[in-house]
Amino acid sequence: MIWDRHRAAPLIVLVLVLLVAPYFVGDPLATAPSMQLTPPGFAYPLGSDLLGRDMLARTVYGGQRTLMSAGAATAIAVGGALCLTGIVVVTPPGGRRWLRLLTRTLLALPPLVFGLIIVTLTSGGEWGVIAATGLVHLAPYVRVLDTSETSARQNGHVEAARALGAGEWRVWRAHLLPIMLPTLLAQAGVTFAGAILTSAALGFLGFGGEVSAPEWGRMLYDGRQVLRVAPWVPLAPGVGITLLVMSVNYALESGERRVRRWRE
Amino acid sequence: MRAIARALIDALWAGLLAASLLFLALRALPGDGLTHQLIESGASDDVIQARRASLGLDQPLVTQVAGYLAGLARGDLGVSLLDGRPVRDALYDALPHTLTLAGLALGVGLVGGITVGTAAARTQNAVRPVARLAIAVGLSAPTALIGTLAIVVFALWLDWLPGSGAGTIGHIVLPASVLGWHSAAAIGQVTAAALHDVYSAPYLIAARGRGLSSRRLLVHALRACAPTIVTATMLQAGFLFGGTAITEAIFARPGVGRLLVDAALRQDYPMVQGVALWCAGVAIGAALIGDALSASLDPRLRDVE
Repeated sequence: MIWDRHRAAPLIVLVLVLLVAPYFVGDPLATAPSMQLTPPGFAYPLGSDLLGRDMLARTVYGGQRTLMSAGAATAIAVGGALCLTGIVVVTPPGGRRWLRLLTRTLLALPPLVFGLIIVTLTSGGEWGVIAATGLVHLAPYVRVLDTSETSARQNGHVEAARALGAGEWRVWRAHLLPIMLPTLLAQAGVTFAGAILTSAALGFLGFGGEVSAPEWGRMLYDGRQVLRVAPWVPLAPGVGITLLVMSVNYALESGERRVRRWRE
Repeated sequence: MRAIARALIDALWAGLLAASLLFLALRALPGDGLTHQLIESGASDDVIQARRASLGLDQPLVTQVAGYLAGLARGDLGVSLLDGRPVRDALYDALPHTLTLAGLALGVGLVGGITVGTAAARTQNAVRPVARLAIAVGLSAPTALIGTLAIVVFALWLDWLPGSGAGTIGHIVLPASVLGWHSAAAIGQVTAAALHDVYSAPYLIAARGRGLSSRRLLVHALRACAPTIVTATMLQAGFLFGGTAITEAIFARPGVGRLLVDAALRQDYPMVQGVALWCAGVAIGAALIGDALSASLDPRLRDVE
């Protein structure tokens, strides 16, 4: 099967669908009071919600929004971790100890608890959730970066470069980074999958922008109130999240990399 | 012994740092739930100033941090900004619910995780792909979806168990299973990976060569995986006992997670701080216990710096 050989195929297809589909569906905000809670059928392929809004349009737009906010959060986490590590590399040795202590402290908080604190600080909003999601996944990324750097430094050619007088920054960029790159990319994927779940969880708890916006976590929350009569309302966004995260995990699952992550 | 003492000191440092950071981060910001509430209720500036002064919010930041840490040492977590209730009392009221739920979920996670992990790594027939799919879905599906589906199927359609509230044994079965499923997937993933490695280790191949039954082999292998499983389980314990906001929200249960979400939505900083501190403490403690257990299971881990 194609997805056995090309493990990223499901993810690519899903992302393409979510990027293109908004041009083919209706308005996710348009309400139709007479059509409320219509079961899936010809008019509404995925049914409609309590306000008669098209669940297909909302799921598609919500998916696009999830992709973008999870992407932005991943950029914050990865960029922030690289910046922090970069600062530590060019400053005196004591900096690394502080970074490790800070990382360990941040890792002590369960992700959702940490996220809720940041959201409280930024008083909610779409960007508050993105910032919270990014910061939640910052500390784990720093730790992976730190671990893989430590093991990359064991290499003979790194020691040789230092002995020849290469500066800290030069060693890091030219000798350590190429070794760490596969791990860093894989961890970025792990971060992306985690960011999807974290932002959906925060949305479900009532944070993140205006109430009517199509957002998967928020839609799950809305669905909870009507699930007795209309189980399709929570099902569409929930299955969307599951498929997206599964396809990211599946793309990551290529042999050794996966095993290494398990060990850590 | 020295390693344990050092780990303990490290943990204390991390806890102290977490407490100070939390306090500074939450206090450094302008505006708080109390001021919002008073402004909205139309109180005059004098009243607002007086209320802020009575809660110590007008003091310099350093004095506030020192006061908070001193209070912490006495077991005083401050009072809620909104109703003046001591944070400690609110936490005490919420804890029994969270502890029961988290304990049961951890049990489900441990038993389910080892079972499904073993199935994913060692079975040959149709069980294997099913176990792998269960792990993949468990790791990918948001708790909110699993919980909602569980309510629809078991509470609404089949009407076997109550779908919301707390109190009887029946009330806890669904939330504990939903929460435990996610932990089981995480523990199962680690178990499967560890078993996979152990089965290619020379001593196990030798044991197989000597003709040990596959059941005896599995016992050997699981013993060798125990430290890994313990570490993964303690990580889950840290998450679970720190409150389970989503599950508590879905099943309308009281608990620590619920307390945190409500406080965050109303910007009640002392409450957020107190609950977060409890979570950090539990996670640090669980990691510590996990390290100690792993060290007692695997002598090689004892001398590692």
